[in-house]
Amino acid sequence: MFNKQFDFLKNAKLYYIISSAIIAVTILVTAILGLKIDIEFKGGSIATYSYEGEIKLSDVEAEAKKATGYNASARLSESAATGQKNVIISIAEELTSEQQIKMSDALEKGFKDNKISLSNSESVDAMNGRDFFVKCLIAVFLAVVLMMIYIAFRFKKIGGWNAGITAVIALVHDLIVCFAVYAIFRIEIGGNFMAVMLTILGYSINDTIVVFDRVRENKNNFGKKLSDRENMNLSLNQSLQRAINTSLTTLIALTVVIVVSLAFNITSMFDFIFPMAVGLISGVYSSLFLAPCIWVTMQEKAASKPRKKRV
Amino acid sequence: MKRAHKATFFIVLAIIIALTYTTLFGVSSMYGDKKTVYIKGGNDIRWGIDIRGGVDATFTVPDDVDTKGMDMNKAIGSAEEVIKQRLIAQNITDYEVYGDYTKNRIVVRFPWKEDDESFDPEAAIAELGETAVLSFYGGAETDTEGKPAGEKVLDGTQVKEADAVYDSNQGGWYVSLSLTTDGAAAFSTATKEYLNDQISIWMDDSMISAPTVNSQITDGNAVITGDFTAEEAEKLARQINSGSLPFKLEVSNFSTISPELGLGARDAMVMAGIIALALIFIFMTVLYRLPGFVAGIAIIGQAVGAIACVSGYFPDVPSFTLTLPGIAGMILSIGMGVDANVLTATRIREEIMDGKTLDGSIALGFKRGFVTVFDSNITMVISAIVLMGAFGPTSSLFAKVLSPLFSWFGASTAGSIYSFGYTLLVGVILNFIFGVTASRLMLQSLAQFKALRNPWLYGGKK
Repeated sequence: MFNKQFDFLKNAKLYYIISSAIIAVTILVTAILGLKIDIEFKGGSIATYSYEGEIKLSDVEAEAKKATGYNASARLSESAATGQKNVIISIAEELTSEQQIKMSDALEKGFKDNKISLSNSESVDAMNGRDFFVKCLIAVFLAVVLMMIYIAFRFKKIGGWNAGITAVIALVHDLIVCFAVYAIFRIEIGGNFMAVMLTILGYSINDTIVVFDRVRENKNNFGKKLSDRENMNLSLNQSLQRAINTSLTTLIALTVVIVVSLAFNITSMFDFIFPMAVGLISGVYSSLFLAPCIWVTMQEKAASKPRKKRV
Repeated sequence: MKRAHKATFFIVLAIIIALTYTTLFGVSSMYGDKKTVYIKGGNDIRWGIDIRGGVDATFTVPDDVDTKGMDMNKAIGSAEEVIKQRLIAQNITDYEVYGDYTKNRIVVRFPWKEDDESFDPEAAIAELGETAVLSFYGGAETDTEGKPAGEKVLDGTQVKEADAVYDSNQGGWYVSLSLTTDGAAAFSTATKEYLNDQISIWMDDSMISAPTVNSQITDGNAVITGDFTAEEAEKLARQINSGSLPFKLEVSNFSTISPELGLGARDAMVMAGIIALALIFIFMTVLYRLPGFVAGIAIIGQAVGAIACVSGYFPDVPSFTLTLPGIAGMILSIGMGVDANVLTATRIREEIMDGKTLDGSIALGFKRGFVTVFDSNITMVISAIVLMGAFGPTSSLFAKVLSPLFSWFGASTAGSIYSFGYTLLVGVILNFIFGVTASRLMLQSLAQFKALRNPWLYGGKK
């Protein structure tokens, strides 16, 4: 079993540089381009109407403004699969349902020949979206703290808190990578953003735990015969196959969903699965390269420090 | 360890096949044209409005309402009840209504009614928020502000039941009222006092009709006439029956999603799910041979089990609205199921390569794999419980434990993330049943067949 091994820990610096670069790019992109935030968090109204024939955007905007009293901006979209033509009207203010009805009535009457009919509408008070977001953050924070305590407790033998903290660093890294997909590919951050983040949270922590579990087992088997560094490298070599096979299998499943949703033009599904797939790959990377290096560094630092004598 | 029985594999397989069949198609019997459903099938899954289409609205108390001295908890509570009544009256039974007592909001969600093309969601929502205070005043005079000048003689609470009735003699619709005993007495007094005078009937701030009293009415039956269309009369009757709101509610959030968009997504997703499972099955078998084949069966069982837990298959597990985040939870837990199987299969291969016996390798592989599966799945449980507590109904156990942290937010944003937590938690439990136990039972049983004892089948050399 001790045949040729790949040295995972040799290139620690390279991993740190790659990860820092990804994080830096994410911050830059976010700062320069900003984020596409769904009205769920921004507040405002959006309504989608299906129509037939030709329609002039400026007429639609004027009609919507007359009915609601707010400035409206309209854009067109056409479904590639069904050929259904839609006009999407967005308004920065939230509409009451009475105003919404007024707008629909006005458009239906104003564009009789186009057979305009409402297919989607949304009106959101930014307050609600913010509440949701903050609540999510608190929930995630609480979950992460509890997980860290659990890991620290279960992996006492291999540096407890070091293991817990490392797992959380890897996790935050993967969440940033996943977030980067939203920023770079201009995917709207809406209600499902949180679900994607939570899924990546699960995958990432799972990947790291599998590695730590192997380290713990080797520690039990070999005790002090192996240094932390040797132990980690052995464990990584042992869990490499599992990491590749699991993530490949899961990625195949996710790819199927991506392909099907692209074929059927279901953007909501694509926007949902694509960042998830990227986050999944990041989870494998961070558990095999990033977290092990950090853990070894922390363990070696702790070992070099003289232990305080217990009284 | 006790030697496994050869029949075990077939028993477990039969259970998984039976579960798959009944989960997808349900169990029901037809007696004449009456269908009795014993077990709900895949068609009974309640898809969330983000998939199936529907309406999501948040009602708030407008700023100009004077709530001073009002018991808001009670007021929101009764508003919630009234909204539920109105939804049922509109024939919408598949609704979710949450009262948010911290922010004084009420969240209403309901999917599209099946096969209803003419349904107008905006109008339905607008109707839900109306106060609908019915009152009768003596005389038809109004003051300068347009409010009734006379004294109030009767109000909506004194009405037992209202009905929209078609007047076959004169044509047109009216609303008939039958009053409570208390109401009948008040009405009797009023009709005596205002004999040959008018009594005006008001809904909120508008006068609907002002009939002249021709005789004293003592039997507690009154009618509201007023040139109604059928819809108007029905709406009025509905509002009177469901009672009035303590104050007008304003819609602060609402979204409607068209059903066409939703159903297309649903069918595509079902297709994607089937293809994905088939590929996982093939891939696992190619990678891990016999343990992979067994894992494929177990993963299908797990996926089907997850569906059963949302479709209302098990009588004790209520059906659950499945949203996109809920599907994410399923994907995550099935991914964990794949991982559990990969972990054990890899371990079995390692042990065989190490020169251990076949039975010993299988037993050890599952034992070692279980430790890892346990730890990673417990972290999933932690995250699922926190999410369910944070976003679930405020009355649930998890929510009560976490309430000091989240009480500030209220229940307003429940739905979607709760669905994620639920499918994740269910998935983890299923992971222990299928990914760990069913896989082990099946593999140990298959290993008893002579033809299946070749180490190559388990990843070793021939």
